[in-house]
Amino acid sequence: MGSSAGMDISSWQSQLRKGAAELVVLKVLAGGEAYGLEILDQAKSAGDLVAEGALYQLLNRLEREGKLASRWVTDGSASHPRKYYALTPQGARLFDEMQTAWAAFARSMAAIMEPKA
Amino acid sequence: MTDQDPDDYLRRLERGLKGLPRSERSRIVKEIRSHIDGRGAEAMAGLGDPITLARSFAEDYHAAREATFGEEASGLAGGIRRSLRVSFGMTVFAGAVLVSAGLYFIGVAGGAFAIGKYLFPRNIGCWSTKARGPGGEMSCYFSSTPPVIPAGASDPGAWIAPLAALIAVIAFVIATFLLVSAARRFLVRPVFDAYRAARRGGMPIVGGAQ
Repeated sequence: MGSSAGMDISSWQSQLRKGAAELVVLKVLAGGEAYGLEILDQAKSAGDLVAEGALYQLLNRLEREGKLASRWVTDGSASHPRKYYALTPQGARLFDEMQTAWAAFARSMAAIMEPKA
Repeated sequence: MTDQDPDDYLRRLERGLKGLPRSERSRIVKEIRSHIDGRGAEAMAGLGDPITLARSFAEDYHAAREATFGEEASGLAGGIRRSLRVSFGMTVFAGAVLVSAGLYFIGVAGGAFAIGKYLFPRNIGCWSTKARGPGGEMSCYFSSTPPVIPAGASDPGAWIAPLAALIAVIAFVIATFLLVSAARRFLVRPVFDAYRAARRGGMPIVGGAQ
């Protein structure tokens, strides 16, 4: 029973991460353009919020949907060019909406989870 | 996983992306290469098995295409666009069939000429008096009795057979390529797209096919 509950929790946590990953990426890019590793590092600095393997698919999808724009940059410190991503106006709008929705959701969750006085 | 060679990892990733267009494939590999370059073996461990990673990219790509197709499939505009695409495709394909038929005819004639020249060298051939200057003539013959060739006319002789065979082969190859490409691009693809749209419940296509 214990191990089955453990598996349920890890699957649920993975679903939570999946749902939050898009907002995390948009939040990082709201601070300015960044390439994959930078986005990952910033996301990881706050916790295990984005899985490495899922990041590039997410970036690809957001770019395909017009939420992100990208450009390849070759700088001296890297032996291969890096793909920098930035929010498009559409992406910035989505970020604002998601942020508002997230704040409301977090408030609702806090209201139900915190012990009543 | 951690002692995996980056080039091997990227090769396996690219192999796994085979079903995607070349530009999409190279863009993904380029970005993952840049990621591995920045973090080394640790990055490969984090990204996981390259085949699984490739599969997720491919699933994502196809899901996005399906979604785009689904949007395009719905509504009156989508139905009209598909019908026009099918009609246009059929017209272009009919043109390609005509051109191919002409080329096949040239191919058959060239082949028959080549074989005929080999079997009946005196009854089949060409002659020319153009070398004499303006007013010269050129003629090819295919007759049961050997023709009278004007005095001084040049006769290309036996080498006309391989030349005719070469022309026949080229005509066959071009005709077949044209026919297959036109069928794929202008007939199969638009009809298949329209069929998929009809199955998804989009607007009916030409003649109300559902």
